[in-house]
Amino acid sequence: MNGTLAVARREISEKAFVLIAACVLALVPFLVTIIPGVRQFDSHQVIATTAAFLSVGFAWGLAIILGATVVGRDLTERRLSFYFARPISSAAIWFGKMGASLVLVFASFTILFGPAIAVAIRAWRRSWDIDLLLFLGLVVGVSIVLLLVAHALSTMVRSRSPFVLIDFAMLIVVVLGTAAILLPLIFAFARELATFVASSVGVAFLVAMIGAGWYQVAEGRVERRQSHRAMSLALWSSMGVVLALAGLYVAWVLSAKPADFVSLHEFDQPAKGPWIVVGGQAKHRLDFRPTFLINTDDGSSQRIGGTYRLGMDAFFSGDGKTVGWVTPASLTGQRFELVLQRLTPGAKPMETGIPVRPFSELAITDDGSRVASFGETTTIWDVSQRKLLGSFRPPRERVRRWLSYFPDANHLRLIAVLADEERRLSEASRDHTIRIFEYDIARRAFTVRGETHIMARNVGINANADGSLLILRAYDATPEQPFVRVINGDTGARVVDIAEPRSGPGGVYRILSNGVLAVSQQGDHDSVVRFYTLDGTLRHELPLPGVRRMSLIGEIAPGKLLVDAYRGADLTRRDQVKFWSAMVIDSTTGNVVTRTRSGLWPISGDWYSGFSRDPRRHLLAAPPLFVDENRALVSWDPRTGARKIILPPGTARSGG
Amino acid sequence: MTNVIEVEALTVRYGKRTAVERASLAIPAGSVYALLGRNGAGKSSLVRCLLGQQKPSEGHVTLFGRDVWRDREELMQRVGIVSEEADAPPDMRVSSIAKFCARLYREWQQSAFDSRLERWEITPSARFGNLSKGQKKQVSLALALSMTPELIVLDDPTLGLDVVARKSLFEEVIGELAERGITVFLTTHDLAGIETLADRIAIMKNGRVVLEEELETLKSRFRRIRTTTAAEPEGVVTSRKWGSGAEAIVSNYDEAAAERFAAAEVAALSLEEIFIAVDGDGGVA
Repeated sequence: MNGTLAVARREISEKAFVLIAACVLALVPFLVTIIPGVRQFDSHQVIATTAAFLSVGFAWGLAIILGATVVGRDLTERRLSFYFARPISSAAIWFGKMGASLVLVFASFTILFGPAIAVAIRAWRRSWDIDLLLFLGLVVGVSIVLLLVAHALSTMVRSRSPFVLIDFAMLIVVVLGTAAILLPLIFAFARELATFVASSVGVAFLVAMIGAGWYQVAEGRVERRQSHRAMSLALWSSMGVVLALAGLYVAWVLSAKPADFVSLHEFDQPAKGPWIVVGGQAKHRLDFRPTFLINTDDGSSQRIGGTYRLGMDAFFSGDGKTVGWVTPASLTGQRFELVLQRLTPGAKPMETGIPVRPFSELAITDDGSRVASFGETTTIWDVSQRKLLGSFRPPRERVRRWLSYFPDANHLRLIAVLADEERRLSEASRDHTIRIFEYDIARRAFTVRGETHIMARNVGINANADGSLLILRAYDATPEQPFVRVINGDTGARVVDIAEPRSGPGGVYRILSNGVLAVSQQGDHDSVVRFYTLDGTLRHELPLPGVRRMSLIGEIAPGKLLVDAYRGADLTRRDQVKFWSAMVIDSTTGNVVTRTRSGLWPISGDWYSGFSRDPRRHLLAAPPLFVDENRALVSWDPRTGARKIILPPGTARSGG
Repeated sequence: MTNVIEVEALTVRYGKRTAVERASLAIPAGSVYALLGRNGAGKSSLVRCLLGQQKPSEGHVTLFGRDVWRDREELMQRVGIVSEEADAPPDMRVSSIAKFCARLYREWQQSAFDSRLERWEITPSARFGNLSKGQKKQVSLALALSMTPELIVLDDPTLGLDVVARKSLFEEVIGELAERGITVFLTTHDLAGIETLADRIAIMKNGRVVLEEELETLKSRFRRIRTTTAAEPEGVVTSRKWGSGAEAIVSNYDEAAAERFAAAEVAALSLEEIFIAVDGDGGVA
């Protein structure tokens, strides 16, 4: 320590003129205010701004100069022997010199910035967005980086050794290695994790540079080339170890298995087939949210790209034989493309090259052969040929929501709910237009097929299994009671309006495949499911005492509706699995035909708004999935009562 | 007598070039040891290794029985150094350099330093860079002596000194040190200066130590012999025609040789002449 202080003190006294220069320059921010033309501005603001630029420029410039000379020049001019000829350790020489340089840099900065900011602190806060402490931290951090980098570069250049080519090659290797480690995380939208890894590598690089400097002085001593070699050896081998560790860590992160989930946030299950898509947070992996394609028959899984952060979950085609997801298509993460994978043995993910905008919609034909990518311009693509089949500009204004699907491979149907804020019936109620658009791929024509109007606060929409009928539910249709309207899915012509007998916090509604309308109404203490015929006749009413929330999951057979009901007192704690139970209701009789014991929380309906963005899928060929009381993801087949664990206990918690 | 410095099979390479090749030296305590050699012979590399400033490619160096590369920091408490080139920071005042050193050495003698400066008429407030070459050497020497060294290493200490300063250095300083029993290791080109002071001599040539022995022994076995016949005596280091006869320098002159060349003109050689004979082109020890 004595040696370090002696070296530092000597270095500071040798370069004390820098502090004198800083003292002189500290007057500049104040003198600037008297320059004609500058006087018109707020003087405090001028002082703060001038001092900020001057002090930062001076500090960083000084850091570069000192870094480039503090050891390198002594080596070149053969004056490092002055220290080595005395009882001073190599560490004391290195840390003394570096410490002195940092003291000079920070002292100069303080001399330049301190008086100005003391006078103009209020102006600083007014005109600079950056917090003062953050600003100071930035100055300190960047100064240290510049000092060390300048030292390393100076050592390399001054040695005049061909070894500098190896340095250059190693620098490229480190940069590429770091990019290779970070890119999978960036592409997986694990920004927090990528930042953590990048920061760790950055800090490790700084530590490696400090360590390499010490090793350079300790091993190279007064010999220039040996000094360079020692520094490079220490720096690059340390970075090799750091990158290897970072690479292993990232590999471990990426190796997450479905069993590592601690919460789920993404889910899709096609009506047919054994495959599901599950995404969530895995153990100890910060914000890395892996998404898996899981075969519920054999338990096999495959990690796929997950872009849920862009509001774009993975999805299945109607036949359950194709799965799609979105992946970044550029290093900057600004462009995205669609990836499709056939769910056949040995099939690989296929990057389609089809551009996708974040937070936009996608629609896929039932056979997975064509895809529509929505945006300001919606494009329709043939997947196998990667060919653009057509494009159109969908309506953007006043759109509150829309549904989209391919009724067949040649037509894209778009049902938009448009709200007119100007036309209001009351404060809460405004005119909603439900307009049916269709794009004819063969004719490349975008037409309006029909529309209907509903005055309501909000309008929900759903479709029957073939899309021929749409069911609309008006929420808070003040002054009317909430009501359900069924319209023709092709023309928008009204089929029937059904007024609901009482108001409530909403419910769910389906057009079942036997033509029966199922409408649930949820109350504060109990709920009811009503079944109507298409002429509006109430056929059956099934009261569900104690049920405060319910989910119409789908049909397990035509007219057999699977419902999950919540009986808990606290509606904000619907993740309490024990209060959920499932039942199958026969819509033709209005009776419950199967009932489970409690403890099945539906993945679909409550946790997620629906299985798919395609509204037509209600008939469930595959056993639906639930979360059981042990937080395991299970499939339960109401037809047979078979229950199967898909993800082990503890994995299926609600995540965001 | 124990050795203060031991150099064993020291090799120093710079890339493909070998500066020092398997050099071995042993410097006894209390001796004045001179390492001679022409420019580029490898002396400076050897000295740097000797002071723990450079890592040998092969071999090792011990000072006071300890590895100098490993224990340099501790060993430098006992070694005073005057390096070939003045290495003190030029902006530093002489007094500041002394202050800096005073903090580092356990047995620093400020009064000795001050009195030497006074004797050499060097102003303590002068900046090191403003001093003449000779004054810089003197300041370095004063620093090296004021830390009470057990060994002093002088790397070409007379470089740049005028005749008077040179004489002063050799006679007053080194002579005094030798008298006090301090081991002196020096490299120099001033052979006349050390001729009366050095106990042992080593000569380096092309990185190798080609000669290493007591100065007295060395001087006693080298002679210049001038004969009137063209016959060349044994043990010739160099020879040339001299009038009708020959002049030869022999390296193995002894009593038997004295008898053999009784008729010839035999003269002792100065150290400089021996060095030229040994280190000149074609010379062998």
